[in-house]
Amino acid sequence: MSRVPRRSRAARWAVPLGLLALVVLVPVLPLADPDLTALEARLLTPGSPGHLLGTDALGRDLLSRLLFATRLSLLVGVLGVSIAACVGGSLGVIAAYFGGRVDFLVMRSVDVLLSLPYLLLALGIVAALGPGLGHAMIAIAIVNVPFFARSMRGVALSVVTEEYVTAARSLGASGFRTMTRHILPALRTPLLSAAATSAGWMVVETAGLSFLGLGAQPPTADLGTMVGQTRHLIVTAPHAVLLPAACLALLVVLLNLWSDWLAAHPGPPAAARDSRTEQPTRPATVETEAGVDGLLAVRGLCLSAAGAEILRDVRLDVRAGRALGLAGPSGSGKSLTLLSILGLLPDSVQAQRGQILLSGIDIGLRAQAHPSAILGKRMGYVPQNPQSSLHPLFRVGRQIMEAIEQHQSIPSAEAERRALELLREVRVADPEARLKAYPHELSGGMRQRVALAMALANDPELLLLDEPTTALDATTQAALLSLLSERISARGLTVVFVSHDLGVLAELCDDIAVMDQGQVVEYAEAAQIFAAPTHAVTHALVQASLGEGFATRRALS
Amino acid sequence: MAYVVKRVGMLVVTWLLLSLVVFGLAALVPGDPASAILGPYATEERILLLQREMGMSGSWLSRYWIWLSRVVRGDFGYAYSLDLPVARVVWRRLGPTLLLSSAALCFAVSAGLSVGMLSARRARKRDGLLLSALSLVGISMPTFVLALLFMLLFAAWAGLYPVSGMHDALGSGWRVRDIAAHLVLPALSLGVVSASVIARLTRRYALDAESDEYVRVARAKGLPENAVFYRHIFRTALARVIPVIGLQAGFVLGGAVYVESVFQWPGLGRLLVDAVEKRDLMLMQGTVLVLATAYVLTSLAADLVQRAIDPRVEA
Repeated sequence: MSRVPRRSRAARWAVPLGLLALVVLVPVLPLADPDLTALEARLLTPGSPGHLLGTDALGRDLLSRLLFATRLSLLVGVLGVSIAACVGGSLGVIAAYFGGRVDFLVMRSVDVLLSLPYLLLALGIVAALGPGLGHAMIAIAIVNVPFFARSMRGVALSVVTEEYVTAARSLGASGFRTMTRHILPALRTPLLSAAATSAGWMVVETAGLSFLGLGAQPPTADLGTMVGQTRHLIVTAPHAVLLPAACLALLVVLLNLWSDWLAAHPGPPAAARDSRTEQPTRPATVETEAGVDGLLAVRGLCLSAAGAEILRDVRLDVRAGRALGLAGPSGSGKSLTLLSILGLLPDSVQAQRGQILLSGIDIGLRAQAHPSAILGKRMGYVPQNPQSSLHPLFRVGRQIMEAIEQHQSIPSAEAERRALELLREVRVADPEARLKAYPHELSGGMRQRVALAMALANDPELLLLDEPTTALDATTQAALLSLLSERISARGLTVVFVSHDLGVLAELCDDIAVMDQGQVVEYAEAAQIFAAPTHAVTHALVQASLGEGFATRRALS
Repeated sequence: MAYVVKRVGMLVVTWLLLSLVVFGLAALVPGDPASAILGPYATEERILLLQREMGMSGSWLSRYWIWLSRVVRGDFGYAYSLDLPVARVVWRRLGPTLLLSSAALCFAVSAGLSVGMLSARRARKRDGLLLSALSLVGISMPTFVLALLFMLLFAAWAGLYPVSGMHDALGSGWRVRDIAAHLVLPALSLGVVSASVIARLTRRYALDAESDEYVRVARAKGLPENAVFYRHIFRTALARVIPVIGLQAGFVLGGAVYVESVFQWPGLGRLLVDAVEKRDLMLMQGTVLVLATAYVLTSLAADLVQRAIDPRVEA
């Protein structure tokens, strides 16, 4: 793909190519014989003439030994990773492809291997096979098989269930053909990243066995063996121990960096997206309500993300006691407008300019810079998704009390009493029991009621609702809407209500602003919007709302 | 309660399968252990007798059964390389290893969680990036390299802690300060890798949680950023990191092999290396089985803790 930057492609292969160069070049470089002993030149320090990095306990040239040993570690690592990847990957694919009993048998055996600390298993295997570099490598490869089997099974499973593979199977393609034609190509990238992840510590563990004297045997130049053989010299001749140790650590840091890099830059990017800035600009037909006497005003709000403008000169005015609906298709910028009012824009979004005025005072676009006690005290917020609007790991009562105690210094018994009161206010059945419940024990509608209770906890003037009913079924939605409208009028709340559904907004809102592509394209009283939509988007939204709106109204009556 | 019972049941099954693997390791050995022990001049009857004594005659299933029933009664066989019953050696060495591993794990958990949360909290600041770079180096350090490095820096050069000698410290009564001084370097070098793994994952999970809607709700309540981070985000990250901590227990028990070798620690890890070197299979099996049992029990503890933190974990 031409869109992959050349630099990123270079980085993808820089580490493997560099290491390959090491493997190829070391034997042809003009280095001293790594195994040539010279007892009269024992333990020379780095910088000695003829021995750049000094010599070891037998007078062998350290530079040469280090390079050969690093090369050996690499070769063993690559070979071990390949074995583990082939065996583990095949097991994973077989388990995913055949499913059922085969899957069960393969994965259970893999689990049993995983229930043993892997180094102990490796030591057990070496104990059985006997010491030696080859055996150490096999042992480390075996203990890595479960990792590859598990991750590749996951990948293969997602391919197997894809349509084209199902189609190929139903057309009578043989199992082997399906695997090689369809499943293996999909595995390439995940397999590479799994291999990169495990390469680092497979090198470490193989070196570890050599360190213990169970892997490579002297006089082989091996990093682990070199550290292990000289470790009693750590105080008298540290360089002989630390240099091979540093080489090993450096090699592993390099491999892990590469693996991190691969994880952060997965594969070729998805198809190019068209940029929003290239859309023709359309003048906004905004009829701004007059006056700064409103409770809330948004002035000239412009936002951008990744260099593209996503919100353009948004102006809104909400007078105290009125409800403003923000409508528009998804991606039109209505939720971002709401988050700007809260001062909780994601970090990926930059505010170019604009003001949020609360009672005529500019509170800024970031909550960290708010004047004291705005969020939770003067503004309450109810989010969209009932699955994630409450913290799953805290009890409901605790979460409501937390909101109360943040802004009112009262004893916790009193806070609990108020939380109970709030739950009653939002008509949660059996509120005493619900206080002690966890969110997952409540229904979606119930969770949104709790979220509303939290938003109302400190008697705010302004209630900000981000599609609070969208994810609910029609009946629950209708019940929540009627509760909302009742609470809004009872408490005299000022509201900004975001929804893509004009029918929902019609129930609650006095004014409606329609947004499209980051701009307010129509802004008028609710009745007028329905009676005479002027913008194409508004027209489409009105049309769409008629069907849903009827359903809602029927459920309400 | 039903959860605990079920989880313990699963533990028994896991342990049985695990014992099968440990038993099976012996089957990988070429040749017959009994004739290996008795040497080339042994008579046929002597070999048969020893085979029966070691529980090595008959089908593999019956041999496994004999082995298992002995193991359950605490009889791990005879360590021919030491001329002692395996059980007696293993029990004596278990305490020091548990002391070392639990100290290392405590360090790994506390350092890992705090470094992870700090580097997530300051993800875009220079010190936060430094902490995450540090944890990348941390996961890349071989345990035995760390052990040697710490020994050189803090024991030999700085003279802060003893180089080795835990054997004497444990042997001469229960002197807490002496034991603690001997414990510091081995536990640190054993814990660094796990601490780094925990730190990296804690950081990632905390940054994941940043974009969760309930975190936005927490901010919208007006909670100060520290409360959002160290209460709401931390709880989410912790629930995901607990299983990782369970896995790290296995890493620590395995890594004890290196640290015990470097610091001359009188534990099971060094015993295991000796057993593997001398190919004393019964000693190897006994050591591996005891260490693996400790690991399985730690995983159980991790599961129970996670269950306590995350109410969504199914019974």
